[in-house]
Amino acid sequence: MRVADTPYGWMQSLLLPWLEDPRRDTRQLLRWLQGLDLPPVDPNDEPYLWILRGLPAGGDLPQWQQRLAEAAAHVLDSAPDVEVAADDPEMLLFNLLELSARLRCEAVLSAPLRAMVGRDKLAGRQYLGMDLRHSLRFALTHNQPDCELEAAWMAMVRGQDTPGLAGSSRDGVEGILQMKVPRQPGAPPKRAIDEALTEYSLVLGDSPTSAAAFNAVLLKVRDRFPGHFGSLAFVEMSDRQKWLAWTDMAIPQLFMQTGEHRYVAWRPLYDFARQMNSVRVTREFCGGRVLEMLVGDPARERLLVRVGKVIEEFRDPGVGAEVATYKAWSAVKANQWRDWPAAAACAVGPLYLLSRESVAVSTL
Amino acid sequence: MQANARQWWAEGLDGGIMLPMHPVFQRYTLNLDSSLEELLAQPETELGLRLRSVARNVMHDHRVSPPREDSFRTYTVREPKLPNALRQYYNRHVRTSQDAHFLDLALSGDNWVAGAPTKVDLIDPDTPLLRVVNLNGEREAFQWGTREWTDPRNDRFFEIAGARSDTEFHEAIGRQLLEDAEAFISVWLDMRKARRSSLKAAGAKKFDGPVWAMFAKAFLDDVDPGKDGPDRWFEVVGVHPDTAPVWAILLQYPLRKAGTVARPTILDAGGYPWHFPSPPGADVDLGGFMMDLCIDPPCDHLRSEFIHETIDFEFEYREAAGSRYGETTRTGRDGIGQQRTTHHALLNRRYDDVMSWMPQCV
Repeated sequence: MRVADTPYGWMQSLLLPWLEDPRRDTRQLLRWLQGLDLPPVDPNDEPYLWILRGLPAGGDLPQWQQRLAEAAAHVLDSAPDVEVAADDPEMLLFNLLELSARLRCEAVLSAPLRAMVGRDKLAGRQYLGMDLRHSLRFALTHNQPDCELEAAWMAMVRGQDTPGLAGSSRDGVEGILQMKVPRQPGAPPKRAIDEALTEYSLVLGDSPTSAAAFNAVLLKVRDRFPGHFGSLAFVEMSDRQKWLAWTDMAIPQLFMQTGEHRYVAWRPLYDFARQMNSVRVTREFCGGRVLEMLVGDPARERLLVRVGKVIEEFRDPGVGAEVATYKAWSAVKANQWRDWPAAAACAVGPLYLLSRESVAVSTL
Repeated sequence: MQANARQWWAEGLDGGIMLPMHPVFQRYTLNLDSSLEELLAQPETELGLRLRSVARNVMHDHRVSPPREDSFRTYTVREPKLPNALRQYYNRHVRTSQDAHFLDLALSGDNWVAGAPTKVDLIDPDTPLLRVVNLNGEREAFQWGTREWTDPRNDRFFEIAGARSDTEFHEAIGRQLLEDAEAFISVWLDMRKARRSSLKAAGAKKFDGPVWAMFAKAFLDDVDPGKDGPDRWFEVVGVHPDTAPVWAILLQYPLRKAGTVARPTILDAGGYPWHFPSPPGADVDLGGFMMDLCIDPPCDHLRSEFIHETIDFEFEYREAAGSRYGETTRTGRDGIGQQRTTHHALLNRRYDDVMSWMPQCV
């Protein structure tokens, strides 16, 4: 086997022959996980990083990951959390669990990891100031073949005790997001996600940083399950689960076309459209904070789309609803669109003043 | 005279005790011949030269005190291969420990240059120091931030800490920096302070290792702010990133803020092949001398390097360094053999007896 004379190549030349050997001695993995027998690289890098870097990129990567996961599972099966011959058992456990988390071979790793949770022997043990039960939770999160841990993740979201594991509410949501629906590859566990997001919003509460944190999670949900959480999905979820008003600022999209001359929009756009006497409400969401409108007149439709986009641009999870609305109306008012009808200018003035008052009140 | 005596004893003439062939820490009290021979016999490949460099550093780093050598000896018994012993010692007594050995008066007091309770500072406390921070080396700190820090701002670290690969990790840091570098670095510094303060708890284990720094003036003399980015920053401080790209920032702060400042040794570098011991004739207050990893053109002057305990780094330290950040475009330059030979020659021009102290550097 020819490998490059680089740290990646040196690691490959150690790791691959060992992985190819059906009678490989897993004690070697224990040594690597403690930083022993590694090539001369930065000693500040945790060993599991170099073990992963020793896996060659390309089409065969999943096979190598599988073999390495089998070796890691063998070590996990030996209950290293109970007893292991190592100079620094915590370092070894940390590296073993962080490696397992990144291998993501649930078919091989979920059972031994769940057995470790059951033994509950990591309480009070730390590495680099971190509770090792975090590493176990992280490894478990990314090695789930099913939805069996839903109750544990939901307890974590709620901030309740989770024996054998440590994690925040956000970690609990992540646990839910990494569950897999058996026999439905790529399908999201929708009910669990609904509940987890709702609980998470309640844990966050209406604080200045909540919308940004909630927005990050919603974006994660959307990216984790491509095609399953379209533009209207979070509006419908908010409506169904009765999310509180502050969560409106976190929803990734609140202005979208839903049909011919039909738009779903945040309430401020409706306040404007109503004054233009140009729309009819066809659906209400979230107690009327979000509405679907049917626009009758093509000229008014163009206008509403333009204003709707401005409002959407200023709807920012980093600021409150009052500030976002005020900024949006300030921008609309300052714009000198050529085809801007006089009626529209008349409608914006009072909305701008009202929003300015709201900001003044909210900052008192 | 000493060398002749050593040779005589090593040959075991006259029934004498067999002494080692190779020095360890410039003495003949610890016998690591077997491991050193294995390292010195490595071929002239990049890997081989790195291993040979580790051997030469251990053989000639006279700055390791006899009591510290005694602490290290235990690890050489457990792990006869020198790189393993160095790594295990580093993990236990430098990077993570109840009591870092470079801060221990009995073990390292001779290398302290400032901030030590028993000495007058050897360097003006107002002297600005500079540190190049590899943010990609902060992985465990980011993990600590999401796992143990209760501040809601730790949300910024969630994607970074959960990254699966080096690429994901780098990109997650990049998104935060490009969105709002000031805010991200400010939260990172606050998290670091919280992490440090957690060490003050009774019985807490230290896990921050030494911070490496140099005189800010020396750095700025050799780095063109308009032209040189992080690739050059790392070269100047003698660091060879083995992964690329990585994000880097600069911090500048007065020496008085750095706590106990010391001249480093190979044990504090964990056997890092790009470390290079300073010659016996060099004053302690000059610290060590880092290698410039650019050899074309070669650097014609020495730059001092120091280590100190982790401190609370303030946001103003970043501003003092020009608020610069960036990413590398490549791994460090290969050619450790040439890099070390160039540095060795430079030391030889500046100090007497370099060739008798360290006849070969690789």
